[in-house]
Amino acid sequence: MLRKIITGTLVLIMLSTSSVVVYAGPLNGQNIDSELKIENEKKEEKIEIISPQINPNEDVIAEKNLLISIKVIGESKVTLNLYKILDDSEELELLSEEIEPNDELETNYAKNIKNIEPGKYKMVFKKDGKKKLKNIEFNVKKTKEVVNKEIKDSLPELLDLSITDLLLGE
Amino acid sequence: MKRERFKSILLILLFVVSLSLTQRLWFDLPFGEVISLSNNKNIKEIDVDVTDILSPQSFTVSFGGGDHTVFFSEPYEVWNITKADQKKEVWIWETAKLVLRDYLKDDYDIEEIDEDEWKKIKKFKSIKLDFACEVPGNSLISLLSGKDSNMSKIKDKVNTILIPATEEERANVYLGNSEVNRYLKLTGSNMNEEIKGLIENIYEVGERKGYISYYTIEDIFAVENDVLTPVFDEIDIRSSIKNVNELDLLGEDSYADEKGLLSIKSYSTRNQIDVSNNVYIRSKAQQFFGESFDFVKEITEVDGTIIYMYGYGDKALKINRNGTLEYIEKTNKENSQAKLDFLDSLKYASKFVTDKGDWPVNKENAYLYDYEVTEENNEKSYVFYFAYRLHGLPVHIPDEDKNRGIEVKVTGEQVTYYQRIVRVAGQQLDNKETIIPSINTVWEKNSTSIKSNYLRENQLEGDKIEDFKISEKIRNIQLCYFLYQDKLIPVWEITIDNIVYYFDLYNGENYTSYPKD
Repeated sequence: MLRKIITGTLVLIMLSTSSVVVYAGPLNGQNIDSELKIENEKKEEKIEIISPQINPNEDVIAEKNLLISIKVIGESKVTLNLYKILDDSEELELLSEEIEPNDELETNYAKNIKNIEPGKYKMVFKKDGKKKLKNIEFNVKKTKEVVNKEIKDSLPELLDLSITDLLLGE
Repeated sequence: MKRERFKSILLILLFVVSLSLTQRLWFDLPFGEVISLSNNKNIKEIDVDVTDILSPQSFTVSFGGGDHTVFFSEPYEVWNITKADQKKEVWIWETAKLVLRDYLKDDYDIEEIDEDEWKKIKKFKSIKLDFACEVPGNSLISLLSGKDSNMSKIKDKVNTILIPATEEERANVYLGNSEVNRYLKLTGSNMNEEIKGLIENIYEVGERKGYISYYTIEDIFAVENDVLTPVFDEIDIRSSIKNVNELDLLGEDSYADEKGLLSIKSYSTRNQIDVSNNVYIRSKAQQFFGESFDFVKEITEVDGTIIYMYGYGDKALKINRNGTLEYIEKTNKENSQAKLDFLDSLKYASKFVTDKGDWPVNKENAYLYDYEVTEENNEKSYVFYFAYRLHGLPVHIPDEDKNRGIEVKVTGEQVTYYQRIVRVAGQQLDNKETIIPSINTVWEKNSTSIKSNYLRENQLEGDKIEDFKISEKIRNIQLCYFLYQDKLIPVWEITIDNIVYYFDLYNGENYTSYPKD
């Protein structure tokens, strides 16, 4: 009787131990990945472009100088490269800067780009200088260019008007 | 007999000489009262142009398209332009005075505008003149137009004038008081294109000699705040496109140093008045006492302070070892009862300073910093505080509160108090740091203390510290020279809420802070 009790207890212990090993052993790959992914998401760099202000047409108005003001939240350094896109689609690097993230500051980086010419430009943000985080293209236009375009756009197409339209003022 | 006659004649002669000497003394001392010759003029006899001294503290030039720069002295001072014709082309206050004189002498309508419209108009091509204090509007208009101050339609105090340079605004001038957020639009006759020409000249010279670009706090920090701040960290895109040697990026006397970086130098400094120079001190004292200097007592104290006193303290001049000069004169009942207005009192003050040793550097580099009006025993007094500039920037001496250099108290038609603490710039010093960082560096180093000060001043709980951004509370940013360990150091002077801070321009360290008046 005593032997049976001892045997039964031993079997119980062995079974419960093995089940713990099965169900509470090292994590499977999927679990590890999702946890790391969550970690990665938490530390994902966030880039806010305060200036220049790019309108929905991807235009930026700049008479002569352009201010670049960036806020970076995260843990890794971010590299900013500014390129001018030339007529033949070639990219000319104008600026390469490292920006340290700092959640406490309202802005981390401010630089005045002097004597900027009208044309297409691109800002490329990379994490630790390697992984691309963000790509922003914009067109720099001067004030007069924008005003002239607005005037031109607001002029009615005379060819589309018939003589009665003109007479009736429509 | 002959001897007796000789004695009589001698006695008569001595009597006549003593009478004439006494009479000369009585010319200065009628009925026994003490009045300095230079302090006894009727206001109508004082012909002084105070437009130089009642001049703006800073000039904001808006080139249009969001491009701004700010000068804390005339551009020709900053760029070291000495030729008269070249100076005239970039002389902002002189040009503005001429334009405003022609504009204000004709009729104009006044309309109050709201802050939003004021913010909009500031973005256009224009010149904005910011005074250091609120000036009586009628006095300012009277001074600029030449008309009587009683005829002025503007009674409020003013601390800013904006003159647009766009075609649409040719008939408009704007006055404002940023302390109370009140702005007026004047609509009168069309102005000629002098302001537009002035801005173009400044732009052209700025292209060669360099200027500091200013942007709004909103552009940098994404908060609603249109206060302008300099951005020193810059790159000229042309250097990336062309070979640097092909471009003359550095003009003569440029803002940039030999490495092409924007730079504002420090200077050694000393007191203008050297108390150990006895000859100089005595000649200074003679300027105050005039012909009665012979009857003045000289006292030298243990700490080196020298005091000159006339009568029983009727007039006293004190010069202490740190070069501070103080002059006190007892009020003369006849002159102190006169009720002068702001402008007339300012004329008295200006004439007094000119007569007693002149302005630091020159009159064009001095300006009215603040003033007070007091009334005691039916005697109305104006106390004027004047500041001055060295090498293009205003000078701030810590612990001197409002006194940025010169203080003058005018009671009626008499100057009853005068104080002068003036420093002279010496050798240019090399800065340890070579790059002027952006305003972010100031924030990085000081945000905690600034926020704590804000919470304490506004009696808020500590958990509110995360609820706001410091940049929203900035009221003013300017550059000036700060006296520190016998050196003039370029600093940020930043007013955040009601506290004025002084941060080193190169490393963001906080030197001191004061509550704003």
